[in-house]
Amino acid sequence: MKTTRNEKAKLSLVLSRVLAYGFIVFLCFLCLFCFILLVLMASKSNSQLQGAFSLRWGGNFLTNLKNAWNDASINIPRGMVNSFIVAMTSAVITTYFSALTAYGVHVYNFKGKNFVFTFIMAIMVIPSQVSAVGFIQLAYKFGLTNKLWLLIVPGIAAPVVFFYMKQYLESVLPLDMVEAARMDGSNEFRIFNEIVLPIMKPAVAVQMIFSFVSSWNNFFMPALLLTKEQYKTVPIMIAQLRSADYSKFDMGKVFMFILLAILPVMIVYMFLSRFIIKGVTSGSVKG
Amino acid sequence: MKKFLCALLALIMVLSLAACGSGSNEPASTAEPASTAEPASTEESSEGKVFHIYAWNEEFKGFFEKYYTVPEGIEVVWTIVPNEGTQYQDALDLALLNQESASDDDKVDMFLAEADYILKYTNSEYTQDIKALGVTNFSNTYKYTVEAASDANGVVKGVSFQCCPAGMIYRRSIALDVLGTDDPAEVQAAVADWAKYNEVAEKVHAKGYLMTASYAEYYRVFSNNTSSPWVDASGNVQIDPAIQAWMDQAEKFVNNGYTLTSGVWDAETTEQAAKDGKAFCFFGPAWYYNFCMGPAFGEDAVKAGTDSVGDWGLCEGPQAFFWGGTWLLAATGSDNPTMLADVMDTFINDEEVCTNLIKNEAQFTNNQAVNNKFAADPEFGNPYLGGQNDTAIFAEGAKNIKFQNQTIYDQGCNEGLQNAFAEYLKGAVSKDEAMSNFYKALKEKYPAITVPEA
Amino acid sequence: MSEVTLKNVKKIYPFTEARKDQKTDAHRIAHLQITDEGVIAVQEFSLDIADKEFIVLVGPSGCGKSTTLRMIAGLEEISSGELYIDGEYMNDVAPKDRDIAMVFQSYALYPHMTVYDNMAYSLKIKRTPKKEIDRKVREAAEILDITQYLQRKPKALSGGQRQRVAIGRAIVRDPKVLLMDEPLSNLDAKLRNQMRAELIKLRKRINTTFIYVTHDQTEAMTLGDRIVVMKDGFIQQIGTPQEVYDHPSNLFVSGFIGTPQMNYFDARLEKEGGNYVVKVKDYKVVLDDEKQARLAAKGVEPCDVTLGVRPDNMVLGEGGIKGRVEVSELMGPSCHLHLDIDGKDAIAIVPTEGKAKDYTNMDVSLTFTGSVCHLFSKEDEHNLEF
Repeated sequence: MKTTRNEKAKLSLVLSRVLAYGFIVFLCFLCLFCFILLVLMASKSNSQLQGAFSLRWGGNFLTNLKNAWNDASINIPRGMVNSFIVAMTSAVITTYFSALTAYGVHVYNFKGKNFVFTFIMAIMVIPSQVSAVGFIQLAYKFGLTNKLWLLIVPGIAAPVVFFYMKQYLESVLPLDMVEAARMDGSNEFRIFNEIVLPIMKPAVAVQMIFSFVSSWNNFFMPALLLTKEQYKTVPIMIAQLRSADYSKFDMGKVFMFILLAILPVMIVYMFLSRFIIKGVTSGSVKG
Repeated sequence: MKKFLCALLALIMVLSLAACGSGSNEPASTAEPASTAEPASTEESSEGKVFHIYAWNEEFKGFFEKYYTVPEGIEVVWTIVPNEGTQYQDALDLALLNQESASDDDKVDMFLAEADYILKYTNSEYTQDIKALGVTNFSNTYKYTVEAASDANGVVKGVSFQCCPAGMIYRRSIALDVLGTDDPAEVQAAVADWAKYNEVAEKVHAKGYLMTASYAEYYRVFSNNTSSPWVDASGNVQIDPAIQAWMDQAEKFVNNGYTLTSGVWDAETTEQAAKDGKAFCFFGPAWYYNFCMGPAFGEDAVKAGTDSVGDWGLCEGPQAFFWGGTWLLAATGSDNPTMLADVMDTFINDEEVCTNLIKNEAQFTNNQAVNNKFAADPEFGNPYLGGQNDTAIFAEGAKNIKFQNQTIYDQGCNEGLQNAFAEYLKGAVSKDEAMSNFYKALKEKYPAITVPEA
Repeated sequence: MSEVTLKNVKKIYPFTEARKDQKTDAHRIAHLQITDEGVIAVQEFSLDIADKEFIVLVGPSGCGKSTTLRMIAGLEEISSGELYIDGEYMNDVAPKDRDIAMVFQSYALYPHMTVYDNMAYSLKIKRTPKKEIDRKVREAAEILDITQYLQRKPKALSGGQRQRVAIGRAIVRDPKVLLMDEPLSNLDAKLRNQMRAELIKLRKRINTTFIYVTHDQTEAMTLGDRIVVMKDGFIQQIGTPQEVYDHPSNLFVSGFIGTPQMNYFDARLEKEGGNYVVKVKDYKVVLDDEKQARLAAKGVEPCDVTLGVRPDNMVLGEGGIKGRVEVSELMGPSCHLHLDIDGKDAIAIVPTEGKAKDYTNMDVSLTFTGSVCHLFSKEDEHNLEF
């Protein structure tokens, strides 16, 4: 009697495990499928890509890599460097200044604080495209095209990131800790840099990934602001490959470039995800 | 407190307006002295040192660098903005908008445009009359290319350096099987008009082949030959009889199994051009071989033995039409009018350049004399087509191409209709629904126009 | 030398943009005085704290004790009044320049730093030489017995250990004044008793002025050289623990200090033959000479009073106040009797003297002597003796 019950329990445990793992494997496959597909596509020649869809290895991976890397009209390494400069600096600037603003609004009491908060939130409601159009026109008026910092500096004002940071601060930063640092003799700026910022690491990492990716993938603004070859970023170059004329058009090259283009994003993600650890502050206050 | 906030907001707005105002005024006023003189009347000696060209890809840049000799002391600057969405036009619009205030070296001198949106520029003040600049010899160009580059009053604003007449690319083996001949002239006679074309379709179907691989394969043949514009003078959308004819024919072809419901660019369609493909004909210009028929002519296909090189012939088809082509437009405010005129003149009238374009670049030029020379040359043949001289067919067709009834809404109308109608052909929606979807989408894209009530 | 002097210090929270935590605790504000300027959290607080003194601010929550502490720390602005530390005017000095350390109720350790770095942080800011830092941190760790945890992060410590780190962080830099804001309230009862004892030991080793805030009267009584009892922003009494216990200045202090709480009876103060006597119903007690003298000096007239007697001063005896024992708790050396006296609750502590006896449901009579009576005015609740 007992053994059968045991066996039954064991069986149901095994069954539920199989189901759970099966589901996880399925999800894993879904996530990886696009990536695998991209690698496969990058291994095919243009005419193979025009033909019927197949999951077979195309065998032109290295040829495509060589073609893409040595393309006469676009300079992929240059584009990667440009994109990296823009994406990395704007990610750093965006998160740092948003965190700083969030800290200021969260910790200090000052006249018009509620107004400031409401005002920033109101900006969040305005679609970025709307302000982008105005910004681009202004840039053209002042003749400020083909400057990488043009893409970086506006990132300082990121209401959404600010909002996220503020929410995070509210949930994670006890005001006691700020006061403790004050009592320890730290000045306000130092408190932010040495005490608050490390506590915000997970939020900073999340937002850095987000803003890095969105900046890395941004096409609209750069395409209008960067017209000189030496400043072009990766998305512009991909689009350029895609709109090549028929004698030079090579879809294999495009896929290869896309593959190359997502690698830095993956590296940045892997690097930053280390910081996204839950409960960094546990133990700072109370039991 | 609230009042204070309101006042503050108002103040900020006023300040920002003022800032914008001064921002827009200042550069304009400082740049004023430099651009007071009309560009067209500027003397040669005072011309700019930088020739600035806007384009969306490198095709023309390649030809330009190979075959055009840039005058001494002038630097050519290319701004290549890829044509993703409307990005190229957006960037170009911005540059043209700021043309006046831009420094001489930054001024756009010439820009490239496609047939889909050329009207937007020719009908605007951002392009200038090239006859006034000195481009006057249009004797060898095809009429439609000049019509396309002219504004509503017939003022020519640019030229096309290439011409894209299209024809019917048919499969010789199927032609032999069905019609008993693969000779271009005889096949042309069999499909000389749409009625005959439909008869052939029936025969092709009876033998177990497909007439075309896509329901939309010959849409452009109809849309190039409409008798009325998509949108009339008072802004009403109208379906031209030619468009209606295409809809009826596509419906019939799909229902009878003469064609597939896949789009022109779909893999199912292009796959039908391979060795064991079943499609009898494709419609397209010279660039169609490489661009759309990879499985038929691609290197890998040849390597793998699945190609169909040589099994194809070209004839004019039921009606003449063109597909593609790039125009060079002269930007208002150019500081290099002499070079601008010279570039345009060279690419339509210079025999050597045009000969090189045909011989080395497989282009079909906008110079009838040169084209005809090659058309008559028995040595000049296309291996894809079993050695047939396609230039001869294209040269004949190009004369009959019309560029009329164009509107700035054409791209949206043409693509919208094909997409909406495809849904019906695939059985996803009813015909009425398809049409009302088409109108709805159109209204969203162009709020200014009037669509028929559902 | 670190004397702290507060002169008429006052804290007013303006109505608009009051601190969030105050807003949410509306009922706390309800007891405080509200004027046109705002809610007054601390009223006219004057106190001279001598060097190396251990002062405890005690009172129920919302009495203003924490606010006072935060004003001394500089975390809260002083609305009016003056604060001097070692004779220096401190009102406008930033917290970081006051040379004051503070231990927070929530410990407020820096979670991303090790215990060592937590303790060293204030010294690093002062650019103390590395060796010096190391020596001081280890010394403080030694005192607090946390040397073995120096390389751990706060989250790997227990509540008591965190508390020690928080104290260590405060003492490591030899501050002029050490402020403690309810440092033991997050610990469980046993640990709290233990830490309390350690604080007493610590105090002997560190020569500094302590200002300690608590709502726990036991902590106040055991730790303080002097205690300051506060209520609704007002100081109720300042004195040594014994003074406050023996001579509470008013009804509130008498009830707040001492556990179990003092028993109260409605009574009548009368004069019989030149002597003051207290009558509770039929029971009559003649006050002792000391009280007689004080009352006479004040010229107190016979009147209705609230009589307070501490439970341990109640004695079982004949002819006293009659009541019925509802619950009898045996505590070992003594027995706590929860009584019903004419519908009012009272507690008496009687010695067991080695023999356990169950008093439940017994009718008893309680007496007390004239020296343990506390007389409070019915009108303003103040102690009639003062």
